[in-house]
Parts: sequence; C-alpha cells; structure tokens
Amino acid sequence: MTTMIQKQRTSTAKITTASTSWRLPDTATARRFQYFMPSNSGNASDTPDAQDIPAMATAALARFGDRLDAQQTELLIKTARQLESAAEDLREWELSNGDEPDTSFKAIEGQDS
Amino acid sequence: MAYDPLLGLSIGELGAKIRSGETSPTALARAAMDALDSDGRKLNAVAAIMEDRAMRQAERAEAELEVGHDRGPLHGIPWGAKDLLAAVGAPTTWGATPFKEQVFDFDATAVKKLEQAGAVLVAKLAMVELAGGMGYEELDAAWTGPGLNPWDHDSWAGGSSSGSGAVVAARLLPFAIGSETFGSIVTPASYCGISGLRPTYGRVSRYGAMALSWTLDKLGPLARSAEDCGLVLDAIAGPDKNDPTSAQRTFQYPSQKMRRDGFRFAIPAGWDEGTEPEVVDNINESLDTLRQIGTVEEVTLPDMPSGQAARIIIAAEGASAFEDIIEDGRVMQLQAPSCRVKPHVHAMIPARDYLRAMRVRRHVSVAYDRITAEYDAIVGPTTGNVSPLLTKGLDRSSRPTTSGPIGASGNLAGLPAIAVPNGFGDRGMPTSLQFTGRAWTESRLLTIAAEYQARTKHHKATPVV
Repeated sequence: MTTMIQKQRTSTAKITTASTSWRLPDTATARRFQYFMPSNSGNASDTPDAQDIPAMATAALARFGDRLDAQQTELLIKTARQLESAAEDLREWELSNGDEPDTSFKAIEGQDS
Repeated sequence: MAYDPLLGLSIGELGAKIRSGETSPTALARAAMDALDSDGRKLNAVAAIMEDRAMRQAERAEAELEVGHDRGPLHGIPWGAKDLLAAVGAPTTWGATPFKEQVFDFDATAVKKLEQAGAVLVAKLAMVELAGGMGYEELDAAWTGPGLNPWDHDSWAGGSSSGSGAVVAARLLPFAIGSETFGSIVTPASYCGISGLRPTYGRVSRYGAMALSWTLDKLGPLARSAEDCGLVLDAIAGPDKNDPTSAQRTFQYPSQKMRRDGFRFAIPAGWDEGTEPEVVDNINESLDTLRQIGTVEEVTLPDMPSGQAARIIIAAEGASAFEDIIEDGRVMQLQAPSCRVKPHVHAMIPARDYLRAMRVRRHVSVAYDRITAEYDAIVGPTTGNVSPLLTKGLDRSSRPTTSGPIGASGNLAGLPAIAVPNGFGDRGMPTSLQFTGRAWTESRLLTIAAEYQARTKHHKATPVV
C-alpha cells in the first residue's frame, strides 16, 4: 500500500480523495491529451475534447499516460468507452438490495466449537 | 514429415497397441517430440519440448506395464500442456514475453493427475499471451508468433489454447490440455476441427494454472473425439485442497448409467443471425443427425447482458491478477499492441461496475440453470464463422458471432460445453457443433457427442500438415 501511495504522489497528475473523481489533467498530462483536443489543424468537430473522455480513461492516463503515445492513448480511450457502455447496459438491469454478487468467497473450512 | 502415423490414433487405439507390444510409451514419446519439433514448430504451436521429463515418464510407464502395473487408458499416452500449467522441467511462460524465463518447481494439479494416470507429458504448448485476458485484437498475440491452423497455414488456430488445438488437429499428439475463460477451449477446437470439452466451473482444479479470471477460468481437454475427452476428464477431474473452488465431486467416464437416445435438444432462436452460410448449412445437417437420437426444438434465450458482464469481469479480474506488470510497466513488453494498452484502463474499472456485473451474473446463472434443466443439451454453432485468415485481426465487435449464441452466458454460468467438428465451410476450413448442458452434466454431453460422432465421420478428417 505504501508503494502505491508513493507512486500516486510522484505521478504527473494529482488524485483527489474520491476514488472516481479525478481532476482534469495537469499541464504535463494535458499535453498528451492534445491529440484529442480541438486544434487549428484538422477538423475540430471530429476530435473529442477532454470532457468526452470517460473517467476510467482519465484515471488511467493520469497514472500511466507517460507510457503511451497518441495512438495508444486513442485506443485506451476507445476501450474505456466500450467498458463504460457495457457498464451502462448492466446498470439498466434491475437489481434489488438482496441481489448478492456471485463471488466465490467462502470461509476457510474448520470445526464448529 | 517426421511424424509417426500412430500419433493419429485415438487414445483407446494407442493404448491397445501399447499393450499388444506394437509400440511402446518411449517410442510414442520420441515420435511425438520429433513431430512437435518439426511440424509443431512450423505451426508456432510449441513453447517447449520436455525431453528429459518425457523420457523419464515414458520409461517408467514402460517398466510398469512390463510388470503388470497398468494405470488405465492414459498409461503411456503422450500429451501436451497449454503453457499456463506449471510443470517441472520447462519454463511456464504464459505465452508472454515478461514471463519467458519463469520457472516453477512444482506441478499443477492437472499435470500431477495426468502423471498419476500414466500419461507422458512431452511439451508445453503455445498460447495467446496471458490467455487473451488483456483484450488482444491481433492474431499474433504470443511470443511464439501467431498460432497457425493445420488446415491452412494462412489461417488462425484460434485462441487462446492455440497450440493445444493445432497439435491435436495435426495429429502430433492424441490430446492436450487447454483452458477457457471465455471461448479458449471451444474456439480452437472449432477452428482446428477437433473435439474440445469445457468442463463445469470447479470440475477441474486450477491449482498451478495461470489465473486470469478467478471466477471464470476452467481447464479441459482437447482431443480427437468426445470419447477421448471423457477419458482425459476422468483423469483430471475431482476435488483438490489446493483449489478452494474445486468441487467436492468425483467424475467417472464412461458412465454406465447413461441412456444412448431419447435426448431432448434445444436450439436458440436466431442462432443463425450473423452466422456464415456454410456454418448454417452444417448445423442444419447436424440437427438432422441429432433427430436420430432425440428431438430438437427451438428455444428463446433470455435477453440478458451476459456479454457485457463477462467483459467487465474478465477485464477487472485480469487487471487485478496482473496488477504487478501493469504497475511496473512490463505490460509494455507484451506482443500485441492492443495488450500493451488496454490493461491500463482495465485496472481502473470501478468496484461498483465489477460488483454489478457479478450481481447480474447471478441472474444469468439462475436463468440458464432453468433453461438447461429442461433439455439434455442446448445445441448450436461453436463459432458462427470458420477460422479467420491471419491477415485479418480479431474483430471484437463480432464477438457474439465468433463465440456462438451461448458463449457468454455459458461461461458466466459456469456451464459445461463440448465442441465437435461437423463439416467444412468457407475456404475448406472446419465448422463445429457445440452442446452446452446444465452444470455437472459432462457425462451426458460426452455421451451425446459420442453418439453424434458414431453417426458422422467429421472427427476422422485429417489435415495435411
């Protein structure tokens, strides 16, 4: 856990305490988003801006964006959108409070005492 | 061509020849390793040949038979393990460059059980890197290169158990063990024209196997016939204290109690949508054959988000299983460009999405238990297409077609399925018929598939390697 926290602190992006609430990328990270931002060259309406980027992609880019080039970043965002779409479909499935997740956890076997 | 025609025989036929003295475990092991070293490597199907271990096991098997110690139908039979099973004597690379030097000092339970049954492990077989869990889109997603199909070297062997499918189809080994999280046994079985059994989740211990998705991973055999699959499952099934998800159930094949006809089959409505015409034709022909041993009726499957749940679960569990290489950057060493990218976002799937997928999964399990309880088997195409050309990528958008009509739900619910060849389609490539049953009904599925194969010759067709 310590290692994880240290890694987060040295990341180029700052992470807020709420797990799904990420700040918009700082300047260094934002440079990698430029590919997706309206620019003077090309058709701006064809390129999604940072607001269209799913939270999962924003989080992934904040943490791992240094490793990825523009093409990889594009695939990452596309993948995030697909996952987001799958999650949305699942959210449409009605669940009640008693619907437990189908996990495989069980207590380690032992003797009653 | 180096291989021995004996390797093209079934397990039962080989066993008879071993016991009659016509061949021997050491001769078979040597022939299999020679064949793998030449033709197997040409197919990019071999991760490692285990010469020392194989010859030791074969010599022991031979010595035991000489003194009348017969371990059963697999005694002296050579086999290969998908390279995600730990086995002493060779690296266990999981098909991935970051693990190319990985060595374990113990055997996976399935490997151990097959040794106890007298089978001779001769090779580790190539696989899609990390069993495809990183979301590969490229067909060369393995450090061994793209798995080539013995029926056409310009086509794919399927994944992720690519090598297991290819060497069995090419008659280089009588059987191999593969694994399936979502399609990884039945897809190569379909594309390579062999029989592949995905057991019920928990039927076979996964101890010593690479974990991709703890709640979905299964191990099972790929072989030439349903009967051979049954013999192998008999050896590897059963409880294991090292795998808490392994069921406290025994399995015996063949089961003496099984009826041979009067079966009730269901085929999902709309099964032919998006399915290649030749696949449709062959399934229709198969249905005619099945009507000789039972009835076939159309069933409407519930409209549930199974594919979406499977996608979230595999991505989230895979990202957790491989958190170390995502964090330290070794994921960037993976072969497929898509696999270097997707895990980074898989690692960010919110817990609520994963848990919702697992909650929906329970509904899927209950719904499909009700349906499969009504029938002896749900039938349909294993894949809606034949093996794609290597020049094409894996089109994820066509996944429902490439995984058949019940692929996602069947895996989510942990249901057993067996894929058997049922003819040839586009470009002369094999097509496949799949039987999916209620949990723990492998005996019935194997009996049905064997009855189908007793009435057809598709499983006897042999490619020219």
